[in-house]
Amino acid sequence: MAHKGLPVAVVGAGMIRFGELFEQSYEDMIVGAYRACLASVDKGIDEDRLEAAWLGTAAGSLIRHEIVTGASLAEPIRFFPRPVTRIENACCTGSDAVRNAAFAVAAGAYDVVLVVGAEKMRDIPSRDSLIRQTGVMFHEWWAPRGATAPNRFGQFATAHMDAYGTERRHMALIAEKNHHNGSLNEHSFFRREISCEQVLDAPIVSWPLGLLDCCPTTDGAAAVILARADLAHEFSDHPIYLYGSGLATDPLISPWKREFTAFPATTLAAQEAFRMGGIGPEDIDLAEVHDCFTITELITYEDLGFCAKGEGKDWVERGGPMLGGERPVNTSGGLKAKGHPVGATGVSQVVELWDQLRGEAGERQVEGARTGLTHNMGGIGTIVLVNIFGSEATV
Amino acid sequence: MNRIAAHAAYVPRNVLTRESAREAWPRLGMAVQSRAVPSLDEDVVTMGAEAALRALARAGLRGDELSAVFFASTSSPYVVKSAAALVGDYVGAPRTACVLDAGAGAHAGLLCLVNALRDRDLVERGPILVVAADAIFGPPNDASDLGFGAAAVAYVVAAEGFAVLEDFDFGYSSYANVWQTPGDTHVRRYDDDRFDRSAGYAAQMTAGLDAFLARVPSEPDWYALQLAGTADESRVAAAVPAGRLVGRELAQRIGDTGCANTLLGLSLGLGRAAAGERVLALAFGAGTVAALLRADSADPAGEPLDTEADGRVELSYVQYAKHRRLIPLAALPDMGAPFAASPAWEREKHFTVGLRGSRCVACGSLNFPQRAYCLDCRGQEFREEPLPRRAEVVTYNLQYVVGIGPEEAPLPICTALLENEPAGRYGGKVAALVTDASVDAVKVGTKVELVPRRGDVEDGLVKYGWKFRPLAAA
Repeated sequence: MAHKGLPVAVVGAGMIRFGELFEQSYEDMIVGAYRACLASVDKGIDEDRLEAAWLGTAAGSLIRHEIVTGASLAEPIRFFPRPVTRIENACCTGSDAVRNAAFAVAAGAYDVVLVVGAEKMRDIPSRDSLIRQTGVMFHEWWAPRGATAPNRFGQFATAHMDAYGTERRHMALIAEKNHHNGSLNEHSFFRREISCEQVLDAPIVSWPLGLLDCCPTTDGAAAVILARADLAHEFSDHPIYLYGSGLATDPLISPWKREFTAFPATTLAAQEAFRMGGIGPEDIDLAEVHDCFTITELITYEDLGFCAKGEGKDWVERGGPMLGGERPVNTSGGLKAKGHPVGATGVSQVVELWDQLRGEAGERQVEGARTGLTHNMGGIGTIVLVNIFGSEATV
Repeated sequence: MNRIAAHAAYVPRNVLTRESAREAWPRLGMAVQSRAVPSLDEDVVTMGAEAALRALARAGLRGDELSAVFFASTSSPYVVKSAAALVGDYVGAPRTACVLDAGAGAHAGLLCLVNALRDRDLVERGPILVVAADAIFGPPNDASDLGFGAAAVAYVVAAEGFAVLEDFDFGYSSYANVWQTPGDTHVRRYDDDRFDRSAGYAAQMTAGLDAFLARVPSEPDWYALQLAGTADESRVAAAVPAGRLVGRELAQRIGDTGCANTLLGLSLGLGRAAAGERVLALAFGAGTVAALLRADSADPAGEPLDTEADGRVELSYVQYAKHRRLIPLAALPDMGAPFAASPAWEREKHFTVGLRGSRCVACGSLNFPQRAYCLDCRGQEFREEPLPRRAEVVTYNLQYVVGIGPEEAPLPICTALLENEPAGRYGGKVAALVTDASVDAVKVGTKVELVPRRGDVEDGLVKYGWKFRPLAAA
């Protein structure tokens, strides 16, 4: 009997190594990810089978100072005149491109489609990408020019510490874990271990968050090919299937937040995805979650139901999210070590599940992994997208 | 007859003391014991707004009842752009309000008050807000720099009140030994004290006082004079009966505050005056302005002007140099156009600078700023109301990477629940930077208040708004 879920399969997934890719253009990165994705298709694929594409780039105009459209993907891989839709939904961009492409397949509009996530962030100084943006401009009294991400997530860390006794040490354990995992991933920007002590001793960016609590500003691209589930074996020996996809929203700006110790949109998005797949958090073997800051990952354990509210600190201390632990989280190294090229991040999470659910993750392989979850957060819990993939066919 | 209904002052907490000034200038005499210095995020608009809001609160008036805002300053952030109108934004002046900017001399403060007290036509339409604020700097290596200061004072002139203008007088002269040309960051002077004494402050103040005393029918009870803090001040003070001159201690503490100078003294005098007593005010800038005010009853505020309410922090000379922008700072990257001139800013400023929110009629949630659908219940009917200025910190962070502004890291930033608003809602909160606070002063639960402050500057245009300041522990 088929697994409950959407009639959509992943038949190829690939990415380039994330990092400070000064030598690669936005287009170079797209080409690299596309070729890696094509190469991952077990039985090969005639490129003409790709009927449409979705391009996820979050901050094209903001950072690149150039308009990004569907043509920004169609040109470099000579895809025109086929349809390409560009998705921008903050840090959920990549996951939302996957979701929308999947819905188009599920709706019967297309049989096989391409999804590419790409972001060029390091063509401007890293300080600029944080400070210059006017993305959270509503904080109009603020200097200089609105709020920054470390500021906003730092306030969640403070509140969580105050409410539940969480310590900076617990967050540091998450950074240590993700760097360890990243050291095992050839696509990871940072491939070196760091210790909990190093995290605690790092310069402070936005107390209580230090430099090593923060993910890096990164360039990168990732790509997946989605197909009708019933056609998946035409292309792949071991396709993975979309069990469910959930998306929820919450206000962006600080004064409109109802709470500062949870991201309710995570819980709601996960519920929607779980319902589609007829499963629950207990069925998840591993998860790629949005660790833009260590506190984000810690709160996400609780919001996804991997542990009770307020017990994220205990769960990480017990080794729950570690490789070999109860439910490994961010086996790829996460945003923290692998990098966070915003539009590519959500797509690259699918690449990690592709490797894991097919048993191809090498040293960081989660034994017997059959069901995995990706969690992407835009804003400050403002938009959360959860996609769940599994190795059982959904048709 | 027009009357003074209320008055209030604001004195920034930072001072440069004579001792600290000696770090840089061991041989430069400092006429006053210390001089007040605005914080990095203050100027005459924010200081004036604070004094104005305090005066309106004391008068029990709303900003939208005003007929006019008169603003006097010789140190406006703009050559072209009305500082009076920016103060009007802060207090929520109505569309019909007249705004008047006066300056070019320290006499302008008292002149604005005299004109407000004489203008019955305007007061028939509504009360007049008179604000005087200055933050004056001289050449750094000139003794005058160390004698200037910073403060703001505000008066509400209305049909009802406790004090009236009995008489006024002017003394004409184009000579005052300070000048500043556009582009200068400080005032200059002709460095000859003996000549200045014969033609400037001491000579004109003494002559103005003699002439006015000859006009008025009886000896005033209190004297509020422009106080220079210098030896010349003693010559002027000698003409006043012993024990009747107010404001000398204040001037010694905060320096010569220009347009606010005489009006601060007048505030102190009105605070002391018993029913029926008279206060003589004399200001010097372009010639002299003299006014005689009579208190018909004691000041209803019932408390003396507290010029130390905002605390006192002694700056090192290096900090002073930074505060008065002697240390150049990198500019923010050019964004192409200043946000504070944009349509978005114009749409929001009634709420964000005027500090107003929308109260949901259905569920009572205080939405800030205005909304079409209530954040909490989706209600669509709202009552606009002023936000309370007091709040309690819900959460905070300490920003160590603060970009390119003049603020020193770490900078506390907090989200706070407004006074009397219930927790656990989407509404009822404000987020802002924290100012005039030590890093360890902010915790979850700390009581804070919103104060008018400057944000960043784009293309020369200042973004005015609000910041939180910890409330002094009761």
